[in-house]
Amino acid sequence: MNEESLIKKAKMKNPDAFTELMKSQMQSMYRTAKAILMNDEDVADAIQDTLLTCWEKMNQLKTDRYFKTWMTKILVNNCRGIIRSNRRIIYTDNLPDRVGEETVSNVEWREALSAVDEIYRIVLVLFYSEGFHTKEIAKILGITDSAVRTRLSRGREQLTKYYNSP
Amino acid sequence: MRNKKKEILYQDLEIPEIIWEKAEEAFLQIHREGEEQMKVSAKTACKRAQIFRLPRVAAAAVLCCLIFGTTVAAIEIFSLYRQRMENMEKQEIEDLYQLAYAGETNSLNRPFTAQERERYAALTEEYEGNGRFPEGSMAVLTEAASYNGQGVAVDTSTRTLCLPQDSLSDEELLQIIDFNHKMTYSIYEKNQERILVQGDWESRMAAMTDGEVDRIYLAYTASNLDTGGGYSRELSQSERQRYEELTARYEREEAYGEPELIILKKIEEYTGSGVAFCEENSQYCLPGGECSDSELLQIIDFEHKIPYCFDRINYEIQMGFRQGYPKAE
Repeated sequence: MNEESLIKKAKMKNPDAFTELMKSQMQSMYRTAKAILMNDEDVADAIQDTLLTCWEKMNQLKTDRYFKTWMTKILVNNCRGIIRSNRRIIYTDNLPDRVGEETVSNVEWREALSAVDEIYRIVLVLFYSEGFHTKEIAKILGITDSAVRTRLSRGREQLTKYYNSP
Repeated sequence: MRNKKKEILYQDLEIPEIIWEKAEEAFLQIHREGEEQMKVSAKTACKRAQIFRLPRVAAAAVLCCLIFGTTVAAIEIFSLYRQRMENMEKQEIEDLYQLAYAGETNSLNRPFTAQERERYAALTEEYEGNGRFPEGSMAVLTEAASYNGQGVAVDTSTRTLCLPQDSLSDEELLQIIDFNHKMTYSIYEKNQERILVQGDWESRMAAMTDGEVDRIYLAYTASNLDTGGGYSRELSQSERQRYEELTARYEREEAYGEPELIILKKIEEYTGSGVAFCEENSQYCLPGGECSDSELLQIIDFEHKIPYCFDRINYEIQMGFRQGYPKAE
């Protein structure tokens, strides 16, 4: 079933359509939440909360083509809620014990993104990894379009510095 | 940015087990809630059905299909579904309506299995989309003791859906699907009779034409903002107080918004006098000075119409009376 049909059925509270729809978004949700939280336990909680919130509010989605923007905004808000509730945030000099369980590419990704401030990291991921336009990112994060472009630019600088450092 | 850096941002990540475990917990909860909704639930269907208008003429239904660009085959299926509902005997409609009002049927003698849930969803699509109907119908029993464990039945004394211990066959699942659709239709029909003579604000909604409903739906969904509404300025304390009082009067049928709220496409079109709804930013345009009672009533009326229009369109799609959501030309 294509995404458009899944969204329409999910809005009518079809649990199978909703599940299939959200499973197709898991990679996207994981990357986005990981860019903010960096810790898999917190990411798991954020995604779980997002699934339940999206199910509850699915029929409030006004325009189907903005489903991903809407879902990502809910996810970002949930991630921020977790940060605000004083959960542990992983800093670059305090890598978790489970590094050994991660794939090489996951480790590479995490180390590269850890070199970028969180405020810029999420913008980089939303722009490059998830393909959102700057206007959509502005809506998701609740900031101006120009702030998005500034953060993108600074995020790119920090990533460049990481790759250029010995 | 050089390719290596961009590459890292594009690569797929391995999603750890803990993420999937927590996600599966959420999906399980969602499926449990979804299963509750699959049971024959008269109260929910009744509340949703009570203010919707049923388009009666078959030709109008065919026209709806043509507008939404469906194929000839789809029009034929659409007609089959409508015919099935409209061919119900008056007594059958009355009996189902009385069953609905006796209370919610909210228990099962055993839960649906995962395979039955999956098959139920697939058969519902075939029922609604391909005109696949059951050969027989679900038995309606008046006492629990009379269920013999064969086939599916609803026991009206305990309001229980009785399922056999063996896996449900397609025919049995179709009988449940058919029963649910017929019950919803019966509530719809009986409420339609009630509402059209009532004259309250709900019947005012029900009297809206499909064109009026579509116009409001399209106006509200025109902007790409996911948060709608809001006013061009803060309401004053006096306006807020009058808004509450006028809403109560509106719902007690003493006051309606006359004339109806103007809908504008762009902010620039607003002249600064009167009130209007702007499609571009999903916002209510308010004059600089205090809104009059009449102007506040126009807003209140429009705000009541928005959720009604959404619900009616969703419901008509679910019932097969519409083929899809309105599209802007």
